[in-house]
Amino acid sequence: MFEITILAASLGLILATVSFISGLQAVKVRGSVDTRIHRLNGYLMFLAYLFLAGLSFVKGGINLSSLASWGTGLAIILTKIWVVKSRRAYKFGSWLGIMLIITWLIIVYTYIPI
Amino acid sequence: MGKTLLTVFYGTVISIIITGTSGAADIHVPDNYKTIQEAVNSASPGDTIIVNEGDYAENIVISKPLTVKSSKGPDASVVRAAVSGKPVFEVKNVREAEIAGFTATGSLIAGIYIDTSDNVIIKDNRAIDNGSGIILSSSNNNILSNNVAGPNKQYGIYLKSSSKNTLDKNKVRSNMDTGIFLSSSSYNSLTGNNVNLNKWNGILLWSSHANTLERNKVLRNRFAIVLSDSNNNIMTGNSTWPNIYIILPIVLVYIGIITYLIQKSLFRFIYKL
Repeated sequence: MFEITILAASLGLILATVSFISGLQAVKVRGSVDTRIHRLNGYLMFLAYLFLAGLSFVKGGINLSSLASWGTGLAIILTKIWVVKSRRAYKFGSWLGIMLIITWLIIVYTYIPI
Repeated sequence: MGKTLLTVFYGTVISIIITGTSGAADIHVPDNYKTIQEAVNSASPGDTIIVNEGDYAENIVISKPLTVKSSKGPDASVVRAAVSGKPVFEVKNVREAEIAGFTATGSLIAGIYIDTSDNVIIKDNRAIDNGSGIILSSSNNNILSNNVAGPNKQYGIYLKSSSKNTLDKNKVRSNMDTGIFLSSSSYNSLTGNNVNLNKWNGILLWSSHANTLERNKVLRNRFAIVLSDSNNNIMTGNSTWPNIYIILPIVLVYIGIITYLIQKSLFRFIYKL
């Protein structure tokens, strides 16, 4: 009943949630374990994203709409990493985090079995 | 002499009976005929045409009672419209025919078109990337079972002026207009169909009366079941709610919060913070 896509998408949303909460906490308290939790879950989420994108291209082929959709998500992730690493526009980090949660909600909704 | 004549007479009668009763032959494509249409043209009423795996570019017209089926199912036997302006399979003025186990694709009209025909069985087919998936026009008492209709440019399954047909356990999804469209079609039975993700209506009944819609799943269409100028239709146990999994994202966010708390405790324990 459950396919690998919905499992990976579910895992991605859980990781994105953990990463988002720990990110907010890490900003409040510098040097806490939240930074590690944020980084670990963030990178795992990125791997889940790449896995799903790859699987989508293998199964459905590469077309303009899927390329644009997955590309937009990737751009949000990379911008988020860049914003945090370079400490530029740092205050918008949480907005990008919210956008990532929304991205994963869309992915989960797309893969929900019917 | 008389005895010999009698023997010849009885022999002839027996051979006629045998020929008459065992007339339903199996014809294999491409072993006996290269194309499905050649096999259809050469077949006698009641014959079975078995199509082996392969990609066939044809527009097949069936105008006699035949069974045309694939040996290995719709993944293996794909029929593409040679002329896109004609249906891939067209069943015309026939009583009792069967089309089973094909992928019908590439027609601007329909994957399977049943025209003025009765008692036709359409089962285990995939009608994808056509104008419409399966069309029944002025055809009655047909059975459409376990087919996949969609994605198509217009309708998944379209019944016009067709009555007393049975649509059972078909998957009609991702069509650009309506999933199942009944136009001036009455006394049909739609049972256990999955009609999901169609761009406009899931099931549309227009000027269609006394149809039975039972246990259909009609999910994530713009409109689920639409009745227009249609009376005395019976609808029981259809599911139009966007299904139980819609709460999944909320559950996942909650799991995320719990996972965060667990991870925080673990990290604190590991790093002694």
